[in-house]
Amino acid sequence: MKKKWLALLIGASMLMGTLTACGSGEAASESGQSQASQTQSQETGTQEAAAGTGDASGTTDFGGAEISVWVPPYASSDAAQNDQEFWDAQFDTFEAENNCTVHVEIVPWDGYIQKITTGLTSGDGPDVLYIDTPYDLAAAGALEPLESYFTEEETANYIYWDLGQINGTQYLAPMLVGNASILYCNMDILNEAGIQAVPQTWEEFMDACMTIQETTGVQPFLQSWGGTVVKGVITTSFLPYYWQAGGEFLDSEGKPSINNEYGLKTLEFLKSFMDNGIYNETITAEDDIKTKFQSGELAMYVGDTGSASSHTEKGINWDFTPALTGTDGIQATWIAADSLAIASNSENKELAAAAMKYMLSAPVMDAFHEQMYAMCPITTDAAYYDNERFQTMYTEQADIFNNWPQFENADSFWDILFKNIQFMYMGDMTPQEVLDDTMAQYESQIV
Amino acid sequence: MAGKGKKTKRTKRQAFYGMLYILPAFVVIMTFCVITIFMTMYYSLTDFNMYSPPEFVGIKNYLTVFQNKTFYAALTNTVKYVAVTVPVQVVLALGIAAFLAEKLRNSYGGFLRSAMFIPQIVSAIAASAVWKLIFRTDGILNSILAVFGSEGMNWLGDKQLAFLCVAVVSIWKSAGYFLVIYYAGIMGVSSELHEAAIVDGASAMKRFWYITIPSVKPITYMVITLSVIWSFQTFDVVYQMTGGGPGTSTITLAYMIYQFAFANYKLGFASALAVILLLFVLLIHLIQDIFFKEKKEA
Repeated sequence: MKKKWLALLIGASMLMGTLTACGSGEAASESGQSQASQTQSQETGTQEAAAGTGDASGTTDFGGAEISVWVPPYASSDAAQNDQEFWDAQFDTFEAENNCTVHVEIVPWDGYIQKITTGLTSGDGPDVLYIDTPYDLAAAGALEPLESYFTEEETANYIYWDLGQINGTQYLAPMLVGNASILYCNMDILNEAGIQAVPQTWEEFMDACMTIQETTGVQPFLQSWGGTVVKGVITTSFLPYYWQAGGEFLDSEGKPSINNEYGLKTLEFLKSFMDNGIYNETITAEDDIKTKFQSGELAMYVGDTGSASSHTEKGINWDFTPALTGTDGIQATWIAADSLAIASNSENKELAAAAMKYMLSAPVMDAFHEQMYAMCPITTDAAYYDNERFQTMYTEQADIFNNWPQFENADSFWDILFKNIQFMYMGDMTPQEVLDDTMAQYESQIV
Repeated sequence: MAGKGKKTKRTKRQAFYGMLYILPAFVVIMTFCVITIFMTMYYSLTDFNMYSPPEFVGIKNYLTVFQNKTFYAALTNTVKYVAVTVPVQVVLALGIAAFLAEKLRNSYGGFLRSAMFIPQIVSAIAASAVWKLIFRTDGILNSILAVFGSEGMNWLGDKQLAFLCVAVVSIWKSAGYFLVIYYAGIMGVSSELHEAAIVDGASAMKRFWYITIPSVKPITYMVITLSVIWSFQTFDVVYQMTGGGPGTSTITLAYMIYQFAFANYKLGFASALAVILLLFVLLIHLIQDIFFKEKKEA
């Protein structure tokens, strides 16, 4: 009997433990509510402050409010400071001047958008977020329209402000513009093959590939069709060629439309690398093209302008062309225009907007471009820090650059297209079948 | 009558204590397992994108699943994957455990057991990243093959080989766990049985076949059950090593669920896939249950 009572006592304590935990949760929840109402009260105060009590220097007393900012990493592995250190240091001044706390979280690139989405839906997400594929989040109402937070004078200072619009609404403030996909050439290998200048057209390019293969035995050209970061491959290995072929990505209704003569021309050009023996069956396993280029095993590849300095450091005698010219004389390529946005469920939108403006300001972006990752200036008062060799391209050839087309379920579309192009390289699909199947699968998912 | 009444009272009291004992676990399991399963079933009947409230659409998601080409590729791959990994894991774990129990009951055996268990505690994503480096066309494996004059293989770029690579990594990851379970079971088999068999002149193989295997049958049942469930849920190795490719050659149902839920924001569709996966696992488990019951009765 004693044993039973002992067991009952233990059982009861376990139950109590569970209930206590629930109780704590409830208490925490109440505390959270209390904190939320306090925050709300602070926010009201903050909005009042933002509306009328900000001082002449542009700083505002946010009453100790806290926000979180999620950004991806940009520092190179050998950088003097990592991204966390950089942003924490940058926000020290902002926090002191505005009586607030900004928690910066560096979110790895791998699965970035999934982490953002999960964070936003769970309520533990950021107030300010860095984003490169905003359509679905904006369409779902997760992003705050920015028009009311920026004055006309402020927006006039942003060079790429218009790139932040989705269906006519300004959801984004472009932050990192640049890193275009360009064709790099190892001139030592090209010269060895008797080629003195960087090829400029599709025809010249294919001829150069064949010549390099025949005369030097070095791999002339590769693309990362074995990579698992699908969008990275699409920006270097599909989109530039599609635009060069003359294709417009979205139809009049804003839906993707590649099943046309331009799509076919693009895929036939991509397939010709296999047909001409430039690629072999390992193309569907290739995912580290840059390393091969830097070790002298690869003559040409399409990569981002951010890699230029590391090519120089590795002793590669490189040259480039911003983009090849397609058969109809169109020169085009992809450029990154990643942006900042404010979460619509942020409890401190005014503070979020202030933090966003601070991040985009010339002193902060100049420091970012100088210390972390050099890209184009985004405001009229910022300096140019990117590689000098790209300055003319970025300042005088802006019309050849295109950013991501924005449409519903874009990630899904890119994934289907990527897998079907892999099928094409494995001999399981023709270029036309890739186009048919990609559109059919995408449309069946959108319904 | 008084005795019967006392018994009933006692039985009721025991039932009350019993319920009280299981209450904490019951609450936890209901909250984190049963309710979530029912929520998934509900979401599978809705159009839900995380942000907007779920909108009831009936069985539309299920119809869409069965019209989806990638679903059949994922289903085929998953079934193939289970068919390859489960038997290999079970045979490897049982064979090595029996060998260690029979021949290496010393510190070397202990070291081997620990070493083989390590993959289980290593992060699947980290381990898969290392395996990816090994399987690259210019990776360690092809470098070793080159020493023997081989040209090397297109491990992750070929449909069949990529599937094999994913299966190998999964087997490597889980076999050690099952090995430890089998080892504990084998060590629990009465030594008298083995001694009697040795006196009767039974070879090591016959003892393994007629004593060890029947003795660890309940463990085999558990190992197969766990292995089937884990294999059906394979996601992380595929995500890190191949992304489901090349083409759709390594895509699994679990990976497809992830893609639709977190890349496409089609939570309703992903939930329908999850329910279908659950039904498959239950079906396989039912077949396995019948198989083991028949064996037991025989």
